[in-house]
Amino acid sequence: MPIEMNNKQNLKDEQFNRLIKETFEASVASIHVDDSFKNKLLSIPQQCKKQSAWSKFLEREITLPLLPLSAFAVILIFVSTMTLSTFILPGELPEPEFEIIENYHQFISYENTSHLNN
Amino acid sequence: MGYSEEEITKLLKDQSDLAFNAFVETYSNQLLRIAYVILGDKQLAEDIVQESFLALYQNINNIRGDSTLKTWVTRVTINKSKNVIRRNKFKSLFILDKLSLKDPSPSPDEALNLTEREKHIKTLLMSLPLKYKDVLYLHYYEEMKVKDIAKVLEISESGIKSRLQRGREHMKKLLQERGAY
Repeated sequence: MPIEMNNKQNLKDEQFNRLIKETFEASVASIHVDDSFKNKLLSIPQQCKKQSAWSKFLEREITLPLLPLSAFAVILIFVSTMTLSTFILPGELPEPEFEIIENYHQFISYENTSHLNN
Repeated sequence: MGYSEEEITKLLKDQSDLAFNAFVETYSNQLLRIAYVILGDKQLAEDIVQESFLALYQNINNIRGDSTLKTWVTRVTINKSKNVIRRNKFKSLFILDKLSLKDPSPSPDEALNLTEREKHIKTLLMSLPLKYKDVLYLHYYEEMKVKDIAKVLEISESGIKSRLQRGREHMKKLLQERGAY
């Protein structure tokens, strides 16, 4: 009896396996490589011709981390501003309207003596 | 053309166009079908197969010899196809707000060309979880052994066996729901 049951189960399993296979077969029945797609695939070696070192360099993708880049930009701006400022010549400077009198003490002493003379 | 796998590998490493053509002739249909089963869209499947052959041609000298070229290119095709599905799922979650990307039914253009039975089968297969779909396809359609599937998917043999078992159960449920089993 168990052998019979086993056989029945095996048969059921086999039927189900066939059903899975048929399901996949039906799903891909219309899927095949057509001529235009095949030509596209066959042209891959021509598309991958050897590049020169320069074109390889130009096509290289460079990733720059954001924080060091912005820090570098700030430093660069600071340094370039400092450098440029040394090249700037002063233009016409405003001259003072009044002159500072240097002989201040002499004036005071003269005032004092004139008072004595009177 | 009658090249053996080893000969094709050697010739491809020498950048032989003839060997590449032979490889395309031999495996392109098989790879297109795998990509189609995973993606459910022929145009997308063609893009993936093209990318896979391009990757093969560009990396032929870097491929380690621990698996055959067929295994390598099948693995690349499956992984690329799964990445497309994952990317679309991610987009549908965050950008498109669950728009039609999760809908397993055929697109209107496809619906015109497919028969009623083909539409049902496509809907059924697209409802099958990704982790079971490739394993079931490789085992039942391509008739690959568990050992070989394990190599392609880089999963242990016991992992493949358990996926096959669960996949079968899932498939049975889907077929029963549709009255096909």
